[in-house]
Amino acid sequence: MRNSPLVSKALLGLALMAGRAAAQTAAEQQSSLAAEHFRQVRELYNQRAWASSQARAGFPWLEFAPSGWQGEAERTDGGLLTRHFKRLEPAQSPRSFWIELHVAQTSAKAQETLIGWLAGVSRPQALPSTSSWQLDVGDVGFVGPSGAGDKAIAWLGFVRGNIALRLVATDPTREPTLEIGGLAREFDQAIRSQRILADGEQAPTNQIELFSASKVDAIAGERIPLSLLFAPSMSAARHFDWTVGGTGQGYVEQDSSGRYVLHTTGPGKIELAVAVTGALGWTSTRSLEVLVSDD
Amino acid sequence: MVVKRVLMAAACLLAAAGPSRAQVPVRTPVAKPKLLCDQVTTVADPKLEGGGVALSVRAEPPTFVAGASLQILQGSSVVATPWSGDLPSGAATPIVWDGRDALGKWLDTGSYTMRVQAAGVVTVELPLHLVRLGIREMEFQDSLGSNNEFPMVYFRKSGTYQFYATPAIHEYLNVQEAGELADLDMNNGDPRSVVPVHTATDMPVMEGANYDDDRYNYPLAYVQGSAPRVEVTFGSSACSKAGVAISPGYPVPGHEIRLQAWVASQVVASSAPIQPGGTALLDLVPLPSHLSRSEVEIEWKWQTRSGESAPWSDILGSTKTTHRFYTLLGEPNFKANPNGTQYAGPWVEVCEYMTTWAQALGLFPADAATLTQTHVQGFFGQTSGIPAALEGVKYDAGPLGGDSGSNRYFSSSTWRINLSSWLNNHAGGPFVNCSDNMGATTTMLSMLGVDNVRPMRLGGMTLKAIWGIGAPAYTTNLWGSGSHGFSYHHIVTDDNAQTVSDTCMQLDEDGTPGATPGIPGWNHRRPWLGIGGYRDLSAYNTVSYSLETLPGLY
Repeated sequence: MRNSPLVSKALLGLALMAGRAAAQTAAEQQSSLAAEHFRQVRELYNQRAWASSQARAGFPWLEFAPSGWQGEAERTDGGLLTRHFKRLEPAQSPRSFWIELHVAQTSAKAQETLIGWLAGVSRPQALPSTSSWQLDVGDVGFVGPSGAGDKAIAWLGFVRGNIALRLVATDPTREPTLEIGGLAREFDQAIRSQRILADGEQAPTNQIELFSASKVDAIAGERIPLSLLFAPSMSAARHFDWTVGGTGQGYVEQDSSGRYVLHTTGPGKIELAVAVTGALGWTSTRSLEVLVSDD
Repeated sequence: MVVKRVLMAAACLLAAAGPSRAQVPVRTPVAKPKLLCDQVTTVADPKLEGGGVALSVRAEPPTFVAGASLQILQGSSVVATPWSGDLPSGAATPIVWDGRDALGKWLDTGSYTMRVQAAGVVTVELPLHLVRLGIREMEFQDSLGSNNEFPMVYFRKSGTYQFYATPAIHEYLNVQEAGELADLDMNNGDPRSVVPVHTATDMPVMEGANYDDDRYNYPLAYVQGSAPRVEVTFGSSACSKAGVAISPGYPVPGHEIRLQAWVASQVVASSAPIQPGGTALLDLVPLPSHLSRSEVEIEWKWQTRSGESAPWSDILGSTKTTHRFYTLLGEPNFKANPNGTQYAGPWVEVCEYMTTWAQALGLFPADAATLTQTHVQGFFGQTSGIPAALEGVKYDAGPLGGDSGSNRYFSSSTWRINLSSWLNNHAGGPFVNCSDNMGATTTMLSMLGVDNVRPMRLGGMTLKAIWGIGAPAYTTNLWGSGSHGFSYHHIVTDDNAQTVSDTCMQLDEDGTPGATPGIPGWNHRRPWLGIGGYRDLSAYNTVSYSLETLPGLY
């Protein structure tokens, strides 16, 4: 494809985006009916009475696994970190559960994430709280009971300080006795063991000090080495999510020396973004543009 | 005698230089029989499929000639003797040579002389040009004056999710890897084989942990009824007997070469004269005028002529490549991510699903209505030819083993659907709710070119009988506790709520929609209002709604 058929749409989209904040919030997307639904959910679950503990410095999402389990990071999206878990033994165990994690700036934002999970429930009746199931996890939490077995749990969501966590049983019909409650306790304990943020301490969300391309004009087919420098405070363990946007085309891979390289595969303006999530779950993002000419 | 032989050879050469495979009369001395060389190849690429050097030799007047031979000379050196034998009286002897020497090695590209000789007849010498013809890359483009071709997207990379748009600069690539010498040949001189269509729908072609960047043949997406345009780039290097890169041996002085594309035994396009490393632009035949997946085999043939006014004649052999075309309803609609991603999502897999469903349902979607019908029936499944719902999912309700209609793939906070996880064998689990279905349906229909597809949020509902996706039957007790309603519901519209579509559940069209059992009523573009409308059949209460924006996906 020599021409870029979506140029007009893309330009329109970029123009629209230019007038917005970079990240689209749920509030911007919500219809009036959705806003009313969220209000009802807050009332249904009595959000005003929710407890709130101190904010933590993060959660070791890339490393932590409950005893006897191993995790695999899936991806990050809009601050939601996803990781799947399977048992260490037997070796070929299927994925048993996954987590959605939001390390938020404030406990209020973490609670909004929990509200979002609750607002997604179609059943009109409120879900039981974790405390009503004798599960002491989080400042506040709720349980999605599964019909797969007595006391089986399909998912459990809770907030501890500024951290919202949802554990979801991959298939409760396959593992009706999976101890989601016990697993949640282990996660909660790990959260509680994290350092409490000092008053006025800023969350480390700007840890990319340099993001540049070796050239910003290229012919389609060229490979462009990228440079990334991180703040000294950035952990060595990192998760990268690359997004190639704009009208141009390409992809990012590491070369044999471990350096990231943008492979250009189509003409247009590439808007390349990288989201790097550190070991404690804070995401830093940077972007740059490369103009790619036809080959 | 020497002069006469040269004259005869020149006459044979001149005759051969016209139509390259024309009859070549040879003047012979009065006292000796003369040889006639028919169907002589002048330009050849023996490495093409069915390629080689062909000629036909006979004596005139008809005479038995013993001990004849065909020699190939490079300068004055004999480099091959591909044939020897007797020429029978009165019949031509066809000779075909595969371009290899006595050791089975391919001869290098370049100029040669073919010598036919025998005792008692005058030796005939004819020119031969061995060339190497082939295509190293193909870039499929919009039809002239249109925007109708789009890159496709894969969504997995080994154990992770990564979007990979098929390269716009060449969807077909077949060149040397690191350490290889030539784009047209392997290091041993054998021709590089054509690349088969990549048939996986989740992951692009991988080379170890990285995307393959030298050999692939990706599927293509065009608007229905389009005539694809392809820019082919010709290979520019071959491999010699000695194991070094050499020229493809053309252009040949005094000869032009062109490419032809054949589809279903019909020539559909011819190029202008070509050069190694150059390009040619060819327009192919129109694709089906409905949503489809088709495999098109293109036979690439080359022709040569000895001058602008001379007729073209075929060079023996051809190359065949097969290409997979998906046809879409129209230009795909991708929701831009914050930094403007257009080419995102498990697009190849979605196209594959949709075209497979259309085939199973016997539908030929050429408009939004039929495409939506295909989507709804295929997605929900549990119908003739499609036994299960998309990736085997089922509605998230306690009686089915789930819980309370919770979303697992759609995020209301990011307003995106994790279609990649869903299409990866429901990696997030088999249970889905209405928002998951809405997110998948809006994005899938949009990818296929349906315009204005939007989520439609419904307020609380006191339900009548429904059949949930993946459920065995209709129910009036969805949650298993006597409760049968929704706090909200998500469906889909593409005409601002005049009609609605829903892959999450079916309504009951048996005349008593509040009771089981039920008669399935597919919700594809069902009127929202009126008797038999969605609002009428789905709920006892008056359901409110509001329209929302197309979700993103990841």
